[in-house]
Amino acid sequence: MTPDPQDDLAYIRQLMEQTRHFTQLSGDHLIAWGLLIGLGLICDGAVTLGAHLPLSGIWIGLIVVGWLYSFWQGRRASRRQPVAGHAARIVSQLWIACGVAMTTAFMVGQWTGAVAGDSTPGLSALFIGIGVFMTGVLSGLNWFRNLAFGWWAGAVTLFIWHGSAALWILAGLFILLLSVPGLVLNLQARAAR
Amino acid sequence: MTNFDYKQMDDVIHSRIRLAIMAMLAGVERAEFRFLRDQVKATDGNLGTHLKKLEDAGYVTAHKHFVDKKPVTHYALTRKGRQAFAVYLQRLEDLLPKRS
Repeated sequence: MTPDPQDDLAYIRQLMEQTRHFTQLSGDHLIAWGLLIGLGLICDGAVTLGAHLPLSGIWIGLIVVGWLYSFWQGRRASRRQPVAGHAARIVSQLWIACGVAMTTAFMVGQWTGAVAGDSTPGLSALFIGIGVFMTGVLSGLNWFRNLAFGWWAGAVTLFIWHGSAALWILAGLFILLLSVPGLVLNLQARAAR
Repeated sequence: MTNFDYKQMDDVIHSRIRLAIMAMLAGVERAEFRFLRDQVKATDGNLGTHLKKLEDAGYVTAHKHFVDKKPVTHYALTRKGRQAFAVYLQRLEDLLPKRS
């Protein structure tokens, strides 16, 4: 190789950058969590319409299933990822941070009375919007990042519109702005293979 | 004009494909063989030969496992490889004219 340091350094930087930013976003977690939380909210909504459902048991079951699935899928995906890089690690840590923040805000916030029950759906949409926005930025997927504006518009609606309608709106957001994009990501990944 | 001494350049890294492999692995924790092949645009055999040279020099490690019953190999830079790459980059930068 002829030493042309300027060219070589530019070539090295380019390769390092394109590999460092490589993330292959899997839609599996999004589909699962969107459906699980959406289902829980539909059950909540059904109770407001007069159905008799063991809501606490349903929610605990859904959350446990979600975390078990995430753990199993995370291990499986790490073996399938062509590149284990920093961007992918940041994306997964970001969602864990969002999950912990939401759980803390709602469990501790409602238990202490610091977070009003009516504000829970709106706060959920705000947190998910942050996760979606940053995931889109880190993955270089602008269309996915822009879904965050849908979540934040949903949050504004949910802060204004309280009551049982908020449960149905939030369920719709989880399914339409989390599960459906997850499905699109998986279809795109399949088409690229 | 800089005083270029070719003996100071690491022969193991100083090839276009091996340099590309080292640069890509330097930015991540590990990468799969197929990913490296697609990025470098090399054939399986050619890439395998270069990776073997890097492995023999102790610059990369290979981890083989199965996904859906298919063999998959991930490569990662070793500590020695990262140090050698950093030294190589420093040598390249030394070749550039100094900014006043």
